[in-house]
Amino acid sequence: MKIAKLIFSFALGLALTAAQAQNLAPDRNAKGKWGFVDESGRAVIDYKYDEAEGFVKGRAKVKKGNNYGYINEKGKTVVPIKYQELTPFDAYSYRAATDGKVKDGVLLDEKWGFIDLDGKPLLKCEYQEVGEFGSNGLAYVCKDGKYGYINRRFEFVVPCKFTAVGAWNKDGRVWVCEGGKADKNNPSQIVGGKLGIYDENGSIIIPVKFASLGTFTYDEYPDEVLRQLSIVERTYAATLALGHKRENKVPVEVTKFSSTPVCGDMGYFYSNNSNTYKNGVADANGKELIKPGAYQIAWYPSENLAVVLKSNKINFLNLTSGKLMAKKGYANAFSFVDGYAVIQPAQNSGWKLIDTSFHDATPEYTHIFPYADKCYRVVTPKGMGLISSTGKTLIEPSLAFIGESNNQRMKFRETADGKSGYIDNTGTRVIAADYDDASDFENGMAKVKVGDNWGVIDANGKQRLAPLWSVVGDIVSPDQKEFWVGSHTDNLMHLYSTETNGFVFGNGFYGARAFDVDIPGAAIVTGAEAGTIGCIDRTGKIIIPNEFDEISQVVEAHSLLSKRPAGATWQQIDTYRLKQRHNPKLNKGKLSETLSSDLWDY
Amino acid sequence: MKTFITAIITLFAVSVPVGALRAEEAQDNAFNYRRSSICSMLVRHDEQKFADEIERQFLLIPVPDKYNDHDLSVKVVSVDKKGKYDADITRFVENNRIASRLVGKWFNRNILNGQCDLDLVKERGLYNASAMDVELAKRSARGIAMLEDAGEDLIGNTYLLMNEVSYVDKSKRSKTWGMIGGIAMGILTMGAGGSASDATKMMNNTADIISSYKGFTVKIETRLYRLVWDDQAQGTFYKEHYAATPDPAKKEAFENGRSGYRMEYVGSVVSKGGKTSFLGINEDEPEVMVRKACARAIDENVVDLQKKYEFFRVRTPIISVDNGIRAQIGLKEGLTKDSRFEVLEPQEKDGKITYKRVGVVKPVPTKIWDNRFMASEEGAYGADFGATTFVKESGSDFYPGLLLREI
Repeated sequence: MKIAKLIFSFALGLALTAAQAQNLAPDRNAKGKWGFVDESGRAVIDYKYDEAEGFVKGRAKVKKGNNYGYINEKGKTVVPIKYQELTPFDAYSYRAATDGKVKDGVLLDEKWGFIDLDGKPLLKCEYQEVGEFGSNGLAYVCKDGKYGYINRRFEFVVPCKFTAVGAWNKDGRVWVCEGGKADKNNPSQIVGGKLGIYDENGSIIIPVKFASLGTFTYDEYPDEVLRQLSIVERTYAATLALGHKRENKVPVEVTKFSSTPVCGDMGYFYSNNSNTYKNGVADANGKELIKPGAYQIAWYPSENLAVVLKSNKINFLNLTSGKLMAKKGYANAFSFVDGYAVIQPAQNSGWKLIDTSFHDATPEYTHIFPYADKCYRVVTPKGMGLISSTGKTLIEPSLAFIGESNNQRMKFRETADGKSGYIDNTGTRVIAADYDDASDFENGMAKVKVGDNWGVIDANGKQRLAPLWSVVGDIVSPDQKEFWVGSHTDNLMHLYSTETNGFVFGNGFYGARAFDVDIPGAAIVTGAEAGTIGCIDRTGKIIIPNEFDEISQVVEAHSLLSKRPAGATWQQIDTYRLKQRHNPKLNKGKLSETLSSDLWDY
Repeated sequence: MKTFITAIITLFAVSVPVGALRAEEAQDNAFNYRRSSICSMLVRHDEQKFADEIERQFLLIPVPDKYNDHDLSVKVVSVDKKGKYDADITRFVENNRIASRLVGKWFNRNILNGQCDLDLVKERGLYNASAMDVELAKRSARGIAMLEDAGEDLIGNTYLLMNEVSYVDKSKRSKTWGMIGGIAMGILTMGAGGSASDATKMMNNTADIISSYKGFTVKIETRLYRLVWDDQAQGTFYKEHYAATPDPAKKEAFENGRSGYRMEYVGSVVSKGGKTSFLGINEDEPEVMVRKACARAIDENVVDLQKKYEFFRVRTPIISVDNGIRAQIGLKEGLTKDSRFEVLEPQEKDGKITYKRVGVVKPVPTKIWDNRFMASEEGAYGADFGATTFVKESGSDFYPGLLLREI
């Protein structure tokens, strides 16, 4: 028996191999019917189909009348020819459509479902749309205008009852909208409706009942700040202050669905109002931290304390006790950082730091600038100073100026008309105030002025470019060795090398941007005519003449030139043609017109 | 005239080392052999649904295979209502002096100073340098100059396709607008500096739902015009308009003489307007469906025009004979298992290339290349063949470079 089975298997294998080796191709006869022929042109499967595609893994899609199905290489139907549309097999299923009508060659009002390899229904064909399964094994479906998501077992992960659903984000979350209707003026938007969030397991993260829903986003800030919320931008403080008078003006940014992930890394806010007024707050897992409606505005908590607005006063909500911690509240406040928060007790009063016991940690200052580099810049009538994140005085507020921290350096001046130097975040004067002017640090270096001349120093005050120049160009990398410098002699910009202590090439330009910033191996330069730009190579040779107004067009010109044979040069006519391509009137002409000659390239 | 052209080439052309052309380069170039040049324009119907999408996608459709791209800067002109536009289109072609612009492009004429060169003529001539040409060139007394002249001969095979989208199906758009639109004032970001662009970076969509087309049907009427490049046009151009260096007088003469160049209306065809399958259309790029429908309709029209007008028909070189006779022509060109092709051998006679029939071939039914637009994305049978394999019906030994022409 075993031998018989082996022989049978072997024979079957040979037969299959032979069948696969037939190499059949779809072919249409003179009557317009499709069949399949072998390499000699002999018809192997009769010409009886209205359409036929080639065999893939032993199956070919065929059409009879308005219906599709699949046959095998023997011509046997393996998926019934009864579907009005069938998508390719995706390793699990076909998407199949029935019950539609064909008008002018287009299938309308069909119902979609899923079938298996043998045509057995997996999900009944009763949906207006079914999507492709994504990498998370979920596909959207739509029935009677309502959307949901199914998994590979064709179970609903998100019930099919929503007016709209979002795309799954990296955390496996998706927003849904129940109810609402398309905006008459903007049909791609839904107005009204309730929003909520599901995860990939079908769990509701945020109940579907809120008029607005969103995330706290702080992704442009470093990790240490990410932990804190609503603490950084002074503009937000201003907005919050504005909230005292106009409660419904809150710092929110409306974004489109298509670009709105419900990330959840930093928690969610939601509200029964479309403008987030009286919002609630939940953490990334959907655990509600602050109920909606309790406060005019609530921010995400930091150190178990959330900034809230109530009765037009800012306060701190202790999430454990549910109590507001400040008796009278504040005019303004930022969230806690390192156990301390910046508050403004009353409108027109000064600002100070408080600790988590809500005791004053500093005296009152006229102003406290946003937290940066673990310290705050403070202002008093006597001048500016620096305090640590815990309120310790680092520099008495007596300086005329302290600038923003860049590369852990802050520019300072002792007196209003005094010289400039730099301090670090401990208040140490790391670079003496020897300069008549100075820039902020960028890429570990800063431009400094001595008399009428500019040069460059590094973070330790070491000279990187001698102060000899009327101007110094951008510092674009920490190991920069070549700088665009302005010559007092000819008032042009020249490229100077700090390695050779000389100019890299002889010619100069009215303006210049650093090499490699816009175009690899080239620099954008400004020509003699103010405003016209082109580009040069590293030897100073002009690649694209100064004939353009926009950097993007110089970049495009350079790209076009680079595709031409070696040695090709850019000509005036090239500029003419390139500008013509960007002429907004191009391709807007009427058939009845004689088009303006400046629209034609030849 | 030929002597005059040769003189121009001798004066201005830099000789090209054709003899150094390697065999594989010659084979690559063989694909481009004897190509006609096409300028393709869209007559847009502003009143039609999808007019914007059609224009956007039309601008992305490449010139049909086996033709040189001779497009001009203007690619689209509009009408705003339904109607018959045959006369208007011809009038547009005349009033806008398109013939002169196509001639100008052949000679890379600088519209600012009138300077011309022969680079494109030579380039397209040398693109024709199949292995056969190289052999011919070696034997020919005229050598390289003959090949360059062959390029000049191609100017008379310059065509304008005016494509008018005469009918667009009212195919419904999917209502899955949830993902492309938004809930007004609904989904928000809050806090310090959240923005749409930042948010996009954080996205990791796994199943975007987007607007889609349920199939897209389009009918395109393609009107074919041919550049008249007769002795008179050549004489005028070379004597009065060709300027090897900037020449204000000749520049002005050309500008004043543009109307002397003509396009000859050849005829028109209308695509059948069959449904285009959405197979191969990435669901997050639904507009590609429009491009696919338009590209296939134009390809269909080009095939029909070839069938109607022999001079518009392409001749395709045999690219290899090692594993069957192979040529890069397929379903897009209307090949069926019943197609027959004559095999032509180019020969030089009196400085001109003529073609001698040396045999007949037919395609192997199972080895017909599906080279239709986006056939690969559809996973269509034969889309990966790269060429159609033919078998010999008559003739002696064939070799790469011989040409096939359908009979």
